[in-house]
Amino acid sequence: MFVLLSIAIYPSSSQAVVFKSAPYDTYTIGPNGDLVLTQTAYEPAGLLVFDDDLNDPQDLYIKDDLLYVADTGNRRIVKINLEGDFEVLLTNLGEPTGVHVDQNNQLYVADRLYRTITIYDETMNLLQTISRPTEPIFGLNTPFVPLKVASGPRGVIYVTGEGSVSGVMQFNRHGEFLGFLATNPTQRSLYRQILEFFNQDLAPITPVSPDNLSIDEKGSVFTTSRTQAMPLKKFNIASRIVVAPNHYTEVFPSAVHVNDFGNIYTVTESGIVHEYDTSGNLLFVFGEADASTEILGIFNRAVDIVTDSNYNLIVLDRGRGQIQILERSAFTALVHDGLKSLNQGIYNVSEWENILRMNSVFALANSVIARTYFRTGDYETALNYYEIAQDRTGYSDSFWQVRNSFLTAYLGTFLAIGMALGIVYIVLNQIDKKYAIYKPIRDYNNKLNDIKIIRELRLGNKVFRHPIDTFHEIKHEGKASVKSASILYAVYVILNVLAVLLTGFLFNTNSLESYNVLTSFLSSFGILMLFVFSNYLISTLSSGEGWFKDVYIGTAYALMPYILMTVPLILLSHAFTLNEIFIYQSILFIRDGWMYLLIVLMVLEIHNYKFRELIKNLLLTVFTMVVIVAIMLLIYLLVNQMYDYISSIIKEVVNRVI
Amino acid sequence: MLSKYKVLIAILTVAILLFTGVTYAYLKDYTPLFDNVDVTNIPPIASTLRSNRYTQQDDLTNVSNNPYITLTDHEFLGTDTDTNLSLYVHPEHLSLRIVNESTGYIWGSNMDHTYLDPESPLYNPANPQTNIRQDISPVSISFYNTAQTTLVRQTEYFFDGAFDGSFVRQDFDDKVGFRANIRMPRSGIRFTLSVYLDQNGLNIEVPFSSVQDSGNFLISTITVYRNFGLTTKDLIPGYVFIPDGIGALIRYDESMSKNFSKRFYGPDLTLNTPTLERYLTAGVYGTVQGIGQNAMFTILESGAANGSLIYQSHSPNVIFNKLYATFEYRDKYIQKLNASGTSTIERIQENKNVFDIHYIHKFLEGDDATYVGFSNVYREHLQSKDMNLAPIVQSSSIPLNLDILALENRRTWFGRETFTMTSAQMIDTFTDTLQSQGIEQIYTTIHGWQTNGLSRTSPNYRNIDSKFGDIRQMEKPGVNIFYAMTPRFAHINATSYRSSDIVQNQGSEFMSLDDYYLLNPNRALEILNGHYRHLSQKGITNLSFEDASLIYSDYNEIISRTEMIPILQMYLNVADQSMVSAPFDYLFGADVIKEIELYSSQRMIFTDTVPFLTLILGGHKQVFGRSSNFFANTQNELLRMVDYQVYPNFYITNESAQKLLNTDSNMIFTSRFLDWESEIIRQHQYLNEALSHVIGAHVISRMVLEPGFIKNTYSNGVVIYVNYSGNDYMDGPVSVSALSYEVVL
Repeated sequence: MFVLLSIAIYPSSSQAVVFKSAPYDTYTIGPNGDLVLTQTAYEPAGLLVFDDDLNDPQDLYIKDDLLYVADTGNRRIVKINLEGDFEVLLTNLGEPTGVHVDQNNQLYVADRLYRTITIYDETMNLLQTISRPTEPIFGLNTPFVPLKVASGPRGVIYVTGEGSVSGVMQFNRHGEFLGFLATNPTQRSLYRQILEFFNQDLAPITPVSPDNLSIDEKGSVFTTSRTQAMPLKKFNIASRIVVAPNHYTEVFPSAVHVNDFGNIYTVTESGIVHEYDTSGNLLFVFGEADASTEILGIFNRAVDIVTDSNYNLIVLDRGRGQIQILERSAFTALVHDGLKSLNQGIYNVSEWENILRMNSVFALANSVIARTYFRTGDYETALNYYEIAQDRTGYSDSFWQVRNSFLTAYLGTFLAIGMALGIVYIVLNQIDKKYAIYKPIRDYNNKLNDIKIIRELRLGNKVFRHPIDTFHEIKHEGKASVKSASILYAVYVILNVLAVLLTGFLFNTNSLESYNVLTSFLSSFGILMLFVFSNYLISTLSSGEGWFKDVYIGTAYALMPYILMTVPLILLSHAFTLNEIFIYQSILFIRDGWMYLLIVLMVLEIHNYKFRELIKNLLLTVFTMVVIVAIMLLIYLLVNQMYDYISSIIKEVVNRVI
Repeated sequence: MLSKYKVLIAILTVAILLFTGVTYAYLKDYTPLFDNVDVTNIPPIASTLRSNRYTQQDDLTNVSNNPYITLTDHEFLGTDTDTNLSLYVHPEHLSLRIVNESTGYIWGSNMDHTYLDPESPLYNPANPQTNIRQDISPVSISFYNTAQTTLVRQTEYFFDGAFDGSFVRQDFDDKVGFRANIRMPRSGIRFTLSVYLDQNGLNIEVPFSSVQDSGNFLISTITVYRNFGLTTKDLIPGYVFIPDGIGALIRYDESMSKNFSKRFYGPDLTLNTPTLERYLTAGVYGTVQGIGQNAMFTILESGAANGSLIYQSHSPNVIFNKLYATFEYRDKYIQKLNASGTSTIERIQENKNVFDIHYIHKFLEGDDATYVGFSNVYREHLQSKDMNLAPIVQSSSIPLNLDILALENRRTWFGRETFTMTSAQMIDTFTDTLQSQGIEQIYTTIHGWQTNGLSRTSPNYRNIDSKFGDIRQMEKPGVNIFYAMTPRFAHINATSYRSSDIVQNQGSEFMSLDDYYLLNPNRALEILNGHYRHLSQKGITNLSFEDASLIYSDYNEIISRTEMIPILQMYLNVADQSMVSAPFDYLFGADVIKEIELYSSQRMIFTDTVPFLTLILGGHKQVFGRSSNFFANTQNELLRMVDYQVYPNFYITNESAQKLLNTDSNMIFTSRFLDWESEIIRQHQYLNEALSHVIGAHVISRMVLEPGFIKNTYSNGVVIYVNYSGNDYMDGPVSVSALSYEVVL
């Protein structure tokens, strides 16, 4: 979860550029999934002025540009149009906290004090009262304290309640309880899982009850809840979470609203507004958490949000008893037009390219343009946009098409060349048998073998087929040296770095911009040396026969699978799609597994251990590595403190005395 | 054994492969985009037009007098012949009465309390009781008593409970007015209050040298004549003017308890944290009582930088609306006792902030008694102080400003790399293209021209980075080139400054904003002068100051904010021409102004946004707005620029803004010239068709005919109608379509 940033009005980066026409910054998602600034999406358009006062209003509903407000402090429901004409609909209620109007203009009121849902017709005649359900599936001890109410297709009524941990309550149009849905998931920590494994009696984890809800035209239920993970969720009618958009502020959303083309809006009590598309991709997030300043566009305690027929936002401020309007900007209208076209299956590149020109880093625009080019068969261009949008699935699909075209065009040629080369190879081999045409090469090869370092490095090939023999030769016959081992370590570390930098986009989840080569370089080599040192330390104490030199050299040769298989993996990462991820990951697994296996065999052979001794040595080696790291961290912290202390003294002396 | 040669070759080969591989990974480029930017136009909804985002219609009801202010019991001191104002003073409590002899309107520093008398025609039993002694106090202060264990700021009025302050009054011989040596009743704090008329209007002064603490009692704030210009509820149609952002009004109406308090020129960073709200941009305020009839316009000649503006509307406890300034000499602060700040003590500032209080109240009538009148009067006042505000020379078209990012730097695996976003040659190409399309006059403000680019280099402006290219390529007629800088910001890793140059707060901590230290302005000016001597030899003669909207005090080399103003004004004299970005009024003497405020902070108590700043500058300064790239409602913003007489500004680069994502300039989300070229030309043409007729002229009348329908009349007789709304309107024979403007010559 990201946290919303605020850019101060001072030019902290030496830029004195004004981006906004509102008292808050507006953000969208950029190419790396981070928040980036964008044009003001909604501008403060004033308060809705009406001839009365609201007192602690807690819910807002809009239908046909008429606002229905649960004016809780005044115990009434009021109706206000966008011109400010005020009408009191119901009075002398208990504590109305939720209001809703269905397609038949029936009014629903959730009353927290009286614990009822009451339904009225257009003339405010009471039609029905729903009290605590008596159906067994509701449960004997389940509380019924309704907070919010909504209705969906087929007249189903949805109610959230205080302490309703089983989720949203469903009733049919006759008021009969149907069951719960949209239950919040629970998470068990690792510690708890371990305790449960050992059959410990623990208090049950109860999920958090949903706070607020909204129903879209298709009957999907959207809920907001006070949970760190997934505070906003969309459930299908089978009560499964289908969309859980990211939330970009620490305060939980207090309300959710869905407009007629599926965009989702939430607002937090601190006044942060999020807008998402139907898939849950963030479009805009903006707002300012400053309850003390009474500025248009900033809220004291925002509790609900709706949109009018022009897609302007209307926000209910419970703290001030006000309704504020935030007007949709022309830029947002462009984005909405593009989304509406998309929902209708119309992929209009120019619409989205226009948005991209107004904001070059608008990730959704890149993603949609990519999809559009994909659908029109321009896979090369789609590849580029998918990469900018960091959409690996789309990139994979496009790459598959590009690769397919390439293979279709050139596979025959490659096969022909391959066959030709094969025939040439066989023929040359036959000629060689008769005329020894490869003799100069063999002689050169033999001459190379006379060079000690080359011979030692070539031992690395043998470690694949005869690992035990190889380590035996290293220890007892000196067939490898510190120099050759050092070369292998150097190659390993270099390949480690290159793997991060050169692995293809589909299989590379590292962020190149934040990747520090030097740190990676040092840490990979450091871990190896830490292992060598720790292993030698432990084996010295536990009758291991290997010298430090043997462990050093043996470990280097155990890295041969990594050294030999990394470059092909890098090349394959540029040739594979996500369809072949199994192959890629298998090779990765084999490479790493083989390497670890060789390390184990190395320890076994170098120190001449039996199996039990080997296990003990390896566990103790790992433990020693951890302890050494902890000690070094402690030393680092102490040195850092000392450095800070001394440098601050020097600074004080320089500033005050000199 | 391999020869050393071969070992060397092997190592070199590996190194080259490594370098190539790593560098390739960082050099991947994005495919650039083509074609034009389209904008859509959506009119504001009715609610927006009636909100405080726009100016509302005036109530022009005639106002003859303020019935709560009479001359009863006040001594006549004299009439100033220049201003035709008469001054009266109450002999016992120094309250003032000013009579505008031209209109007969009486202004008072406090109300008559006869309205509380049941016999009075103003009597209303529903009116709450008031503290008469506080009302008649000419001054009030707040102070700290260091003898107390807890440092609590206490307020004291001249007539405070059972205690009376004392004064010795001496009338001036050479002018109409008096000087009073004031002694506060409980604290014993003393200062001198001078009140007199001259050609500027009514002057009220409290010299710094006269302010004396008294033993343990240390002065904190002084407020003088807090009720001056008072009105009662919504009895008198009019408004108060607040210089918030571009300008705001609070009209007198029936709604109660609308209170406002804000420091002039933004927070003092050595005391307060920055705020996202717009600032008070000028040291002025005013009250209009009868629109186009009577007004009091107050100029804070000195002390605004250490003052706050306060407005208190009528409430259930008070029937009066009051607007006044209060000035701060001293405050308490937190002194950290260790580096982590876990141990602190609260202390009082030892030395007073050095500034004089000097108000000039101007009493206006007729057309001057509006916010438009305020702007014209203030312009004349600034001109009288030799501020550079001469009428612009006539030309055939309006100028355009391009903020151009030249170089930036970003992190790479081998440190930081400086890369080019726009070279000098490309800038030359841009200006060629635009001039060929009819944009004759172009200002280019270049950012990041210095060594290592824009970010993390300030205040090192000694050299031009070689990657930028030859700056002489950009020179041509009609193109005015400025080099942007922030000389008072010093990045923690930059050079050219010493730690002794850094501003400290009262707790002796270095002041910084993010990773930039704030420099003492004197030190920064010295550094700048040194660099400029070098730059001018290379052909740089014009500078743009991007950190203009920042004023702070320094407790290292002790300078108050008020004392900082003349130092900041000296920056404008460094180069041949200077440009400032989002300046406050004291920097209006710059040759060019950009990023002018176009909105107010839209506090809920405001009823209008008015273009006060641009009314001052219109016709007398080249004023550019904010970068059009970042407009969300383009047509609305363009109309605003026509309405406010502001010229177009764009933020431009040659490369795509995507390249800035991993730099400190990552807030620039669109800038490519190719994308914006046609829109630059279109917007310039659109604004030019209106504003080219009023170059050198200023607004003399601004009327709101309907919500969102404005009529601006200029000094050269041209009238420009601006229609922000979605409705077509007519004014006589003139028809103005929705979302458009009309020029009547």
